[in-house]
Amino acid sequence: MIQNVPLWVVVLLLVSIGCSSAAQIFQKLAAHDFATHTGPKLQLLFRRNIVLSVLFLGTGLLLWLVVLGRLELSIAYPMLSLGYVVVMLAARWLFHETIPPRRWLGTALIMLGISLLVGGVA
Amino acid sequence: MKWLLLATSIVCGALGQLFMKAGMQALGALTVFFTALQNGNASVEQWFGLLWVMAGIACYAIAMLVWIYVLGHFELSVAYPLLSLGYILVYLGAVLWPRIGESFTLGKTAGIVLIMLGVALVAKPSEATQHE
Repeated sequence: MIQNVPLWVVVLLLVSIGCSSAAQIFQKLAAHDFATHTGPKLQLLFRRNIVLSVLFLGTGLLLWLVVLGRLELSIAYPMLSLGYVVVMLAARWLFHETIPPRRWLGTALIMLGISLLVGGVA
Repeated sequence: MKWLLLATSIVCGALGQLFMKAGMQALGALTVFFTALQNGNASVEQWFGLLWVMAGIACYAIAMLVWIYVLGHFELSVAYPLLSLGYILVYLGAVLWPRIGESFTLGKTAGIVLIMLGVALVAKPSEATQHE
């Protein structure tokens, strides 16, 4: 399974997940801009948060395509769920959101699932 | 109607991944493909690969746009967990579509089921945020 995949592919996958997660966080900041901005909303399209969100989304997608050329989709795609964990932890750190036990349990299940995919226990 | 849109978003998202995978597989190593492009001798298979990738990106974009609409019209506690159905669709597609033809294994299946449960638990909004 993942054993015969070069390291750089795994690194690209992780960077791709990081980019999509960053895009989500800037989207959240942009939504906050929209809610608080007075005056023409169109001005906001060129503000930092939206621009960065789109840039990270695009970069994440390009890296993802490169990964797809080298890794099985049925292994790589479920690994994107790592993004939920990254965004959750970032929200706790940046926006001081509290994380209920249910989410920690979910995180544990995701990590367990990913370790099964990586280990190729079959 | 709104259920149809939710289904559209999930199915388009899965199709997007499958098309992108099929396309990148057909393109082969990117360095080889770009060299072929420069020399003007890219194969038909490679051009089809490029088309698949573009179709995949289009599906992905549709899925995202429809999803934004869905978020406004569904209880988030219903919509988010359903999103994890996409993992099953992508898995089935990758195994059953001969162009991709990946293997069906117990380890993958167990891993994907755990991840779906985990995503449902992580993505479901808490009671407090739902009624804001």
